[in-house]
Amino acid sequence: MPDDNTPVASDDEVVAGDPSPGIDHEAPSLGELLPTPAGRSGLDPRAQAAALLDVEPVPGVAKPDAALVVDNVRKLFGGLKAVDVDHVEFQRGVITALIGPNGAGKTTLFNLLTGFDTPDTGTWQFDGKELGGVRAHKVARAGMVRTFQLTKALSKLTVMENMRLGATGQIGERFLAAHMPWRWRSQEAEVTTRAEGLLKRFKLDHMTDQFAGTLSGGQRKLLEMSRALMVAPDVIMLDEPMAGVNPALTQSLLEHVKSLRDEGMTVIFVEHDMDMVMDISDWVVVMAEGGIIAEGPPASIGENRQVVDAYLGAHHDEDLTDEEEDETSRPVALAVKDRPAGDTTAPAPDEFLLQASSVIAGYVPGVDILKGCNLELRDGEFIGIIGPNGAGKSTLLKSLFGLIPIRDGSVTLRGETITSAPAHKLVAMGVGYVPQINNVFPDLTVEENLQMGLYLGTHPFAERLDVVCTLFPLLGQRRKQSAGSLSGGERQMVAMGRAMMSDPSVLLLDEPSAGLSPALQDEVFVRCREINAAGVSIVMVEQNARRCLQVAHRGYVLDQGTNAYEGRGRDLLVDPKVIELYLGTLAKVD
Amino acid sequence: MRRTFTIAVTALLLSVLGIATASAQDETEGVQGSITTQDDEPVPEVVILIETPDGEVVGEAITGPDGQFQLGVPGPGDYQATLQAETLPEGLELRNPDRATLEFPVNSGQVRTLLFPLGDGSAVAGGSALWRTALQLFVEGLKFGLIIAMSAIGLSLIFGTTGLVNFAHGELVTLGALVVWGLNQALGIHLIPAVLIGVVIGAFAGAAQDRALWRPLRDRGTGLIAMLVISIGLSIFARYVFLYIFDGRARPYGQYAVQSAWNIGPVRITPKDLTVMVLSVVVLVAVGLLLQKTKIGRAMRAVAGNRDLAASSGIDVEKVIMYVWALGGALATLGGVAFGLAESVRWEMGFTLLLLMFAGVVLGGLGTAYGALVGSMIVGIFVQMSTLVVSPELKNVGALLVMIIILLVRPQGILGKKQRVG
Amino acid sequence: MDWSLIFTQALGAAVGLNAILFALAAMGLNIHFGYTGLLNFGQVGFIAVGAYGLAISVSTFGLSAWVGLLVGMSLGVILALVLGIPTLRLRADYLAIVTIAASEIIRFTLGSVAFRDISGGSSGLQQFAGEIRAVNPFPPGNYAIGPLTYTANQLFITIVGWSIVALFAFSTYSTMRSPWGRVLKSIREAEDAATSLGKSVYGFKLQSLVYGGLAAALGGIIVAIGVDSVSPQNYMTPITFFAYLALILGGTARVFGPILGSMIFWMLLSLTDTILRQAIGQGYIPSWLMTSTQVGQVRFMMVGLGLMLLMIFRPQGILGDRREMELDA
Repeated sequence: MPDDNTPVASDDEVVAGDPSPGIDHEAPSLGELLPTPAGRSGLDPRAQAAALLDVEPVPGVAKPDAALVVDNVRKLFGGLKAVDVDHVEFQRGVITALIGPNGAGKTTLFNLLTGFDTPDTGTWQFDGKELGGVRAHKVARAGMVRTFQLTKALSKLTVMENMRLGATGQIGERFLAAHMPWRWRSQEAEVTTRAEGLLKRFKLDHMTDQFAGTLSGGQRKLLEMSRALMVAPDVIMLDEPMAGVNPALTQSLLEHVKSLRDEGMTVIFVEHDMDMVMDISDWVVVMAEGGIIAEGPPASIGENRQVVDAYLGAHHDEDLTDEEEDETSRPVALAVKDRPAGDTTAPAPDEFLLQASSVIAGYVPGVDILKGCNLELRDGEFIGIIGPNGAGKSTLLKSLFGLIPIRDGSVTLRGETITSAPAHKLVAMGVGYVPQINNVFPDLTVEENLQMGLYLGTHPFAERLDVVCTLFPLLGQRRKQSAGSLSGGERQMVAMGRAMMSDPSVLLLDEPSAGLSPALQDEVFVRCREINAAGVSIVMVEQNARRCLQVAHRGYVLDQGTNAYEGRGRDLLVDPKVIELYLGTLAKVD
Repeated sequence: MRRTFTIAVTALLLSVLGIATASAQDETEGVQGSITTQDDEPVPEVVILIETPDGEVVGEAITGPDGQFQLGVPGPGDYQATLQAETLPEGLELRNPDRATLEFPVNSGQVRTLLFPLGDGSAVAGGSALWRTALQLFVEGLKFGLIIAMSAIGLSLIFGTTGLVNFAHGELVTLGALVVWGLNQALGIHLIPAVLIGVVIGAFAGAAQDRALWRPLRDRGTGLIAMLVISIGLSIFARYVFLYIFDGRARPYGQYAVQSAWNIGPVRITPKDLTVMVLSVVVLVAVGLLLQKTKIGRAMRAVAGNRDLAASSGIDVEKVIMYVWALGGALATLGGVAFGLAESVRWEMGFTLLLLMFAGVVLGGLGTAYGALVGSMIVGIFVQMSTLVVSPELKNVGALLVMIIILLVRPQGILGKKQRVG
Repeated sequence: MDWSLIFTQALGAAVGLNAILFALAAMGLNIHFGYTGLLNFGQVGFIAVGAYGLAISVSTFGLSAWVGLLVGMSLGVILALVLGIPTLRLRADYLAIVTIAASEIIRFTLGSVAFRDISGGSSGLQQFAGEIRAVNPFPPGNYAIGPLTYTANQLFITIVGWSIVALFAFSTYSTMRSPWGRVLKSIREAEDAATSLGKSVYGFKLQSLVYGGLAAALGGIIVAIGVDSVSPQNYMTPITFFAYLALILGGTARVFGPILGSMIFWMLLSLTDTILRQAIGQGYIPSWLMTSTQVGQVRFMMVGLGLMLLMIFRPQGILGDRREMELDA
C-alpha cells in the first residue's frame, strides 16, 4: 500500500557532489549495453506512440500493438476488493503511467502481473504468451521485469555485485560450474562491462565497489532500475520510481525512463508525482478501488471528471455545504463550544495547545525523514497537514505521538515537554491518535474496540459510549460484530470512535479518508468537523487536500520533510504555489 | 590404544551433551514397578527375569508384600524383562499375554518403570479390549495435552506479543518444577502450598527475565533471529545450572507419588492424575476468562494484535509484555509440576517438553492462546494414542511427523488465519 | 597445575575429531544461515544420517564400507531434499521447526527397539569401518607430532578429516566468489529482488540446503570412521546449537569463520575441563563448590552464557565486520 511512511534516504549528498544530474551522454547507449531481444528490433517508439493518437480514451480499449493484455484479473483481500480489472492493454514501446489514489490497487496489480501474488481469477498474455500462474522468476526471464516501491538493495553486496546479479543465463550460477572459474570468467567480464556502462549512464560509477547498503534512497532507486536493465527486459515495470527522490534527481530519473522507451523498451510505471506522469507518459491508465476507471493520453486525463474526483477528492469544486452537513450531522451530546460548526476562522491566538519545533526524526538510523518540522495547534483549532507523497506527513504525526523517536527538536503539550514521550502517557494526557492502516483490532468486536479506547478508565464506559454512538450511530448498530468483518469506511468510524472514547482534547488523524469512496470520504470529513465543533482540537494528515483544507481552519503544506507553506485553509486552497507543489501540472489542465 | 581413542572421543562428545559418563559407575540405572490386580490388590512374590538382548541374565526381581519390585542393572543399554507367568497366583494372568516380555532401553541415570497389567483373563484380546485400551490412552492423552497446553500458552503469548521464538521456555517449566520440589522436599512444605508459592516465584522469574534480558534487547533493536539464538544460549545455560544444583537424578514429589488407580467406568486413573486434569482445566478456563474478560487480558490480546494501536489506546505496551511473561512463568510452573507428578522431576524435563510445546503452538496457529490450547491437546492425545499402533518409544516421532504434515498442508495452523500478502 | 598437559590437551582438542565434525557441521550451517539466510536447526540430523548410512550399510546389509560412504552422503542429500522441497516455499521459521523436529525423529527412530535389527537400538553399531581403515598408508605405531601423539589410525583419520575440511573450505571459497554464491547472498538480503531478476529462489535455496547438509553428513561419516561406532546418544539436538555457536564465534558468512570457531570452541572446552579438574584435584576449588563430575556442567553453563554474550555484544564473531553486520536494507 503506498503511503508516505516509506523510509527513504536523503539525496542531499548526491546532489551536492553532482551539480548536473542527468544522463551521461558519453556513456554507451542502452542499445549497445543490452542484447536486443527479438521482439524489440526495429521498433520505432515515435510510431508506437503515434499509433495511440487514434485510440479512443475509454477504459479497456484495444491498442494497435499491445505488449501486455490483461483480462478479468481479480483479487480479494478478506472481502476487500483489491484488484478488479476487466480488460486492459498496454501498448508496446511506449511509456504507460498507472495512477490512482492510495489503495486503488496499483501495486497489487503489479504484484499479480509479475507473479509475486496470485489472483483469484484472471488471465494475461505478454507477447501472446500466457503468463497467468507463471512463477515470478519465470515472468522476469520472459522479459517482464519489475522494481519495487520500497527499494530492495542487496545491502551487503557491492553495487557492482548487485548489477551482475541481474544478468540472465549465467553459466557460473550453476553449482558445479561455479567451481570452475575458467568456464564463467569470460562471461563475467562481459557482464561486468555491461554493468559498468549502465552504472556510468546512471551516474553510479563512482560507487561501484561500495556496499549497496550505504547508498542514499535516490541512489538505491537508480541502482534498482539499472539492475533491472541488466536482465535486458522487453517490459520494465517501475513501482513509484520517484517516491522520496530529491527533486534535483527526479529530472535525471525522468530522462532515464524516457531513454528506456526511446531505445525500444515498454515502460509501465506507478507514480504519484503528476508532473512526472504528465511529462513523460504517452498513455495514462487510472485505477480506483481496484478497477480501471479511465485511460487515455495524459492531456485527456486531466479533463476527465471521474479521474479528478477519484484522485483529488469528490466534487472538489463544491463545498461541504451547511445543508449537506445538516443532513448528515446528528445532535452531538457534548457541550459545543461557542464557535459554530463550519466557521473556518482561527480562534484567537492564546497559548498553544500542541507545539512542535524543529522536529527531526526518521526510521532508519542516519536517515532523517523530517528535517526540522514546525507545527502549532491552538485550543479548539482544526489544522490540516497536506503535501506530496513522501513529504513526511505521517512521520510527523507519528513522532508527535511518540511512536518513532525524535532525534532533535521538541514537542510540548500545554507548555509541558512531551518530546518522545511514550504513546500511552500521551493518551493519559488527552491525546488521541488514529493510525492510517491497521486502525482497528480486527479480532475484537466493535464494542471491545471501543472498550480498548477507554483502557485507562478515565470515564464511565456507558457515558462515553453514548457520546461516541451519537457521533457514529453505525457503531451502536454494529456493537457485537467483529471489527475485521467491517468495510473500510466502517472501520474508520470504529477507529475514530475508539480514539474518542478517552475524551481527548487533541485528536491526531492520519489520512482518515484513505481508501474510501468519495461519499464515505465526505462522511468522514463531516464527522471530523463535528468532533472539532464539540471542542476537540484536531491535527489531520490528508491526501485529499481540497476537502482537508475546506474543513480545517489552518493548513500546513509539507515538502521533503520541511514546512513549505502554511496559512488559512481556504487561502491555501486557492494558492497557486500550493496547487503547483501538491497537484502538479494536473491542476493547470483542471 | 585404538579402543582408548574411541572411548575418549565418544566420552568427550557425550560430555558435550551433558550425559555424565561417570554416572555409569554410580550404578543408578535400574528397573522398578509394581504388580497389582485390577482392583489394586498388591501381588507379592511374582518373579520378573531381566536379561540383556543377547539373553545374558542380569537378575531376577521379585515383588514384595506391597507388590513393588526393583532391580539395578549394570549400566545404560537395552534390556528385556519377562514376567514369569507361572509365579502369578491362581486366577490371575497378564491382561495381554503377548506382553509378558518387554524390550526397553535404559538411559544413564534412569530407573525404568515396567508395567505388567494383570487381568482376570476374561477381557483378553477381542475388539472390546482394544476399545478399552484406546479409551485409556485417550484419557492419558488428554492429561498429557493439558500439561503441554499449560506450559505452551506462555510460549505462544510471548511469541504473539514480542515475536520471540523462545527456546528457553522449557527451562521455565523445569524451573517451576524444581522450585516446587525444593519447597516440598528440601523445606518440607506440603505440595499444595508449595505449588502456590512456586507459581508466584515462577511469575516473578518470568517477569524478571523479561526486564533483565529481553526488554533491554528490544530497546536496542536486536533482531528476532539474534534473540532466538540468545534464547538458545539461555536455555543451555539454565539447563546446566539446574543439573549443577540438582544433579541428574529423577526425583518424585513428597506427596501423591505412588497411588493406586481408580476405575471410572472402563478407564483406570489415579486420583492425582484426575486432580491434575481437573485443576488444569480450571486453570485453562481461568486463563481464558482472564484473556477474554479482564482489562489486562484484553490489553494482552491488543498488544499481540497490533502494538501501535494498543499504545495509542493508552496501553503501556512494555508493562503488558512483562505481565505476559509473568503469566507465562506461572503457567509454566504449573505445567512443570503436573509433568513432574505424572513422571518425575528432572533437570531437562522442560527441554524434552519443548519440541512438543512448539508442535502444539505451531499446530494451533502461532501466537494465539486458544490455538496453543487446541494444538497442545491434539499433540498430547496423538502422542498417547499413537502407542496403539507404534511402539511407545516412538510415540513422539508420530506427533512430530503429524506436526510437519499439518504445517505443509495448512501452514497457518489449525486456528490461524491466512496472512494477507503484500 | 600441569600447564604443559593442559595446553597439550587443548591443542589436541583443537585439531581433534570433534573439531573436524563441528567445523564441517558449522560450515554447512554457514552455507545455510550465513550465506542464504536459511534457519536449519536440524544439522545434527544430517550428521546422523551420514554416520548411520555408513554404519547400517556395512553392519546390517553387509555392503562394502566404500558403498556405505556413498550411501551416507546420498542420505544427506536425500534428507535435504525431503525437508527442503515441501518447506522452502513456506515462511522462514517453518524450516527451523521442521528441521529440528526431523532431527529428533531421526534420533528417536535410530535408537528405538523397534528398529534394533537395523540400527542397533540404543547401543548403536560398531566396527564397520575396517575396510576404510585398512587403506591407511601409515604403518602401525605411534607418531609424535609436536607435543601430540597419535596412533597410525588416529593420524590417518585426522589427516583425512582436515583434508575434507580444507576441500570444503576451498569449495565454499570458490562458490561464494562465483555467480552461484552471489545468488545465495542476494536471497539472504532480499528474496523478492532475486526473484524479480529471474532467479529461481526456491531452486537455489534447495541447492544451498543440499550443499550444507552434505557437509554435515561428511562430518558424521568421518567421526563414525574415526571411532568405528555410532550411537543415537551422539546425535542429540544440542549438537546443532553448539555448531551454531562455533559458527557465530568464528564469524558468519566468512569462509574460515566456522573452522576457526570450532577449533576455538573445542580448545576452550578442553582448557576449562582440564583446568577445572586439576584445580579440583589439587584442592584449589573446594568440593562443596564443584566436584569433578560437575566440571562438565559448569563448562556448559559457560557455553550457554558464551553464546548469549557473543550474540549480544559481538554478533560478528572473530572474523566478521561489525559495520557490515549493521548494514541493512
